[in-house]
Amino acid sequence: MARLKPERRRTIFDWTIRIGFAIVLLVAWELSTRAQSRALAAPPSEILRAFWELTFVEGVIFSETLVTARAFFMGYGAAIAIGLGVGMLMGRSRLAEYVLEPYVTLMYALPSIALIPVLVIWFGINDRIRVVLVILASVFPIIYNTATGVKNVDEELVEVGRSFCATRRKIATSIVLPAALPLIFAGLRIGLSHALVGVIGAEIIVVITGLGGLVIRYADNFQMANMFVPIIFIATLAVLITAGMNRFQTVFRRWEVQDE
Amino acid sequence: MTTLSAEYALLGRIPPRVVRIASVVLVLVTWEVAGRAAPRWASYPWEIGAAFVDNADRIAEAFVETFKAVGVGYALSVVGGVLIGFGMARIRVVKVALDPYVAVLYSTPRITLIPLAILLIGIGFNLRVLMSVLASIFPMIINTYAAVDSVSGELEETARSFTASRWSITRTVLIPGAIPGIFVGMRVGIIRALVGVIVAEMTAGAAGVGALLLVFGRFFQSEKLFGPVLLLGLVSILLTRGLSYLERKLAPWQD
Amino acid sequence: MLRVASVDKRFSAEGPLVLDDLDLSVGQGEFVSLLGPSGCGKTTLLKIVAGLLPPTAGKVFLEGKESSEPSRDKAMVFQHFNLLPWRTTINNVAYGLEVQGVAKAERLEKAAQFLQLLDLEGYENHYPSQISGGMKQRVGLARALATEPRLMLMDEPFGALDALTREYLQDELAKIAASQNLTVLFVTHSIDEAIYLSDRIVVMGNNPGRILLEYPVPFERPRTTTVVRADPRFAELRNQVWLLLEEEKAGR
Repeated sequence: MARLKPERRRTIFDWTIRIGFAIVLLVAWELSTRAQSRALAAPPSEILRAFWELTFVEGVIFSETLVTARAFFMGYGAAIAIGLGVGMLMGRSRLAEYVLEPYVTLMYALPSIALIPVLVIWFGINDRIRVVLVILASVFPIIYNTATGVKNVDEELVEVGRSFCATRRKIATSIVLPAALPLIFAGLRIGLSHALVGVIGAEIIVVITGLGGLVIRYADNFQMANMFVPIIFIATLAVLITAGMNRFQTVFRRWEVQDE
Repeated sequence: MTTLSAEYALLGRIPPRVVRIASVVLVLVTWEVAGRAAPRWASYPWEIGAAFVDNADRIAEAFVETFKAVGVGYALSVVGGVLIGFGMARIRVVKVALDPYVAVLYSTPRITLIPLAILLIGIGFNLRVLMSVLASIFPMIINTYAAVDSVSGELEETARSFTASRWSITRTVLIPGAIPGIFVGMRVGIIRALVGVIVAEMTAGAAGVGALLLVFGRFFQSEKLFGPVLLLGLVSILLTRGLSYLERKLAPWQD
Repeated sequence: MLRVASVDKRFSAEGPLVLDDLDLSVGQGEFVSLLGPSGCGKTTLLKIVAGLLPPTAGKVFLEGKESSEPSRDKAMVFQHFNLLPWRTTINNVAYGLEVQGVAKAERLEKAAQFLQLLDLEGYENHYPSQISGGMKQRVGLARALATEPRLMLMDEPFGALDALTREYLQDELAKIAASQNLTVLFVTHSIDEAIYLSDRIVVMGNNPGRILLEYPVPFERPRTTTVVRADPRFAELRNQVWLLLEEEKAGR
């Protein structure tokens, strides 16, 4: 122990605390729920058993994960395409900015969950609602941040391009876009978390499908232990997608790591 | 910079406000004309306005109900989030023990937890408060933490070099240093607190704006539906703007 | 006045030696510069003297008494100014006095006095984000001076400023140091700056950080950068220090 490097000793300390605290939580949870009815509470041991069953024996979880993931990626992908396009247009054209700004501001501030009843009128209670809600939830932060980023690109950087006689297109792709990336990524990250709320929200509130629908179905049948399994999958999916986004961002913004 | 020159010449003479108003008027007129042709889909502004006035009492009641829960939940989030954020920034054990949960819960849509929340505390007022706390406390924690952490290095050392005590460092460096982060958290958090309450009202509540929207939606009463939806958007804008104004008043040093 | 006695510093028990058996003394009213390449531990030494870092071995004495904590008789000026962004200029200058428990009226009066000394009148109610880098560092200087320390510790205070502002502030500091009879320990990696300002230059080398040589600076006070630069002894001293640093670099 005495020979260990201090950083290493610190890591060991951190993990001791982390694991210790997790064990305390799990034990407290187990003890407080064990005596209760299985229809009202699920001890971790039961959840573990349900996890095994649903994942490796029945396998329903995977098909539902695909259902959720598909709607998420379709909606979020469309939101990125639309958001970047409209955002750049607003960042580069004042007319577009003035014309569209009131709606972007309104829709960005509006909790998109509140649009569910409107979507039900338009589409019926239908799988497509999820994709549309994901788009509506995530496109506005992407538009807003892209527009702000493109609009606020340092004029001097653009002059560098001009001084080398770069074409408009070349300036847009080689200067404006990279310079706006920090804000664009901020928009993508906010959009991502809104998109996740959108897809799971739609599944829980109206459509009852995918992982969100599974949570509701188990809850309605008082299968408490089972209910935790899709929750765990949703959390994992969310964490993985967020981590993937962060990873993507560091690849795209390598040069910023050198700050300080 | 990249503005087209013809467009620039045109806009040079027209104030932005006029363009914005013209755009809104144009959309409203188009909506009115199209809506009258097919009123089932999106109604039309005139009818929406009339329905809004007719239902003003119900709508007002629902908003009061919703914002009571938002107020309580948001207040709890702000206080709790600031305390936890401070704790995580200053006490290593707290940070290490909590950061996995904060990270996972922050990226997971908290709406997932609603069946569990119903199970734990039922479907009354408390559920709406709990959902709004769950929705809004994590941005409070994370932004407070980041702000306190950012003044914990050099500025804290500066204060120490002038013989500042622990308490005086807290009072003169950590607390003012946390304010910008707290405001970022509050601005993000207010909308999330509202989302949390509406989610609870849509899944389990018999009251509030979420429940009202479901009722209007269920019978395809699109003319009744759009009024409160738009009002919700406007209130959200006002709340965010209000917080920005408050921030400029209370933290005027930021450029 | 200040004595550093056999100070060693390691940042961790098995870490490399950052400062090796370092001895240094500064007399009353003396201006001493610590000069060396980056990574030679000059800032670390300054922070140990300030009481912000504990030495691994050895001691720091101020006027014969051991001084291991920050105290009222020392004040520090930082490379990145480290002004509190939420305080106006005058409240930043009053900050040191405030944490030292000076009553409000008195500390504001004193702050105003030092604002005047540093030509900052009219900027009392500006926030740091509203003034230039050079002005920020004047506020940093005024903040330290206002506590009327017996020893000023300055960590590359002009390192983050442009060349003109830097020279202007060097002259100003030289003037103030002379008029207030300051005792200063000054960290820099600019040979010219060390010569303009100091009575004595202590040259440090790295791996581990240690003192290589000391040079007395021959110019009489008051002096200005222009006058010093025109003197043939300036070029000679500059060259000597330069060669020493080059030799040290080649030696590894």
